[in-house]
Amino acid sequence: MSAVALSTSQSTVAFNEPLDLLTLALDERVRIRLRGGRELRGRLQAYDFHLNCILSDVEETVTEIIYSEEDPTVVVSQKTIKNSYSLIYVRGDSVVVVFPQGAESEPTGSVVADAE
Amino acid sequence: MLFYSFFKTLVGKPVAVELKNGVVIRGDLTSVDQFTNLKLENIQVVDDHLYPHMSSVSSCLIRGSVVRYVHLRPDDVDCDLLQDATRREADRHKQEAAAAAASAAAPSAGRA
Repeated sequence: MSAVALSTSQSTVAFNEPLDLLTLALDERVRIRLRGGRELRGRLQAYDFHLNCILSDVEETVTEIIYSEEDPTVVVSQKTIKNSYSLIYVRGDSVVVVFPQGAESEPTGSVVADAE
Repeated sequence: MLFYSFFKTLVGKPVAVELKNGVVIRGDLTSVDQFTNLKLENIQVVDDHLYPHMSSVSSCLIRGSVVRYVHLRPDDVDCDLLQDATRREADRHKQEAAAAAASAAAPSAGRA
């Protein structure tokens, strides 16, 4: 196995699987994109392999996009709502992407363009 | 099982469950199962004028799959303990996967 490995006294833990990224992101700020134009930024406190998560000091951004009735590719209006929560559990089935260490960096491109 | 155990520690505590359709239900958590179906009592729907059919309901069982968020009180949760439990669960999963891979690779070796 050509993975980066961390030896401990009991066992060798290899960091080569997707979810290992989340183990490293525990107690760090993460950015999570959810279904329905939602995005969360918060400190990761817990996760499991379904991507159920617990986040603290969360800022939620909900982006609602209204498309033109004649031409559904034309955006008529876009509104953004921000909420903040101190501690939430997020059900994993709505999680799309998790960006570790990505909480402070701005996404390239808009949520609109990336979502389609 | 991590979140099943986690929600079991919250039994009796007030929570607010936000569903995927936007309804937010506040109530006291009375029980939870392995699918994270949640049973709440003394419930109150936030913005209940939008959902008048919910106004006479005082307890409910929420199917785990329709939950978007569960809002928690920070005082009810020990975050350090949660992080430790998460690491342990991830480790356990990895070892189980390694054991399964080893037994699949050498099924006749007779080693666990």
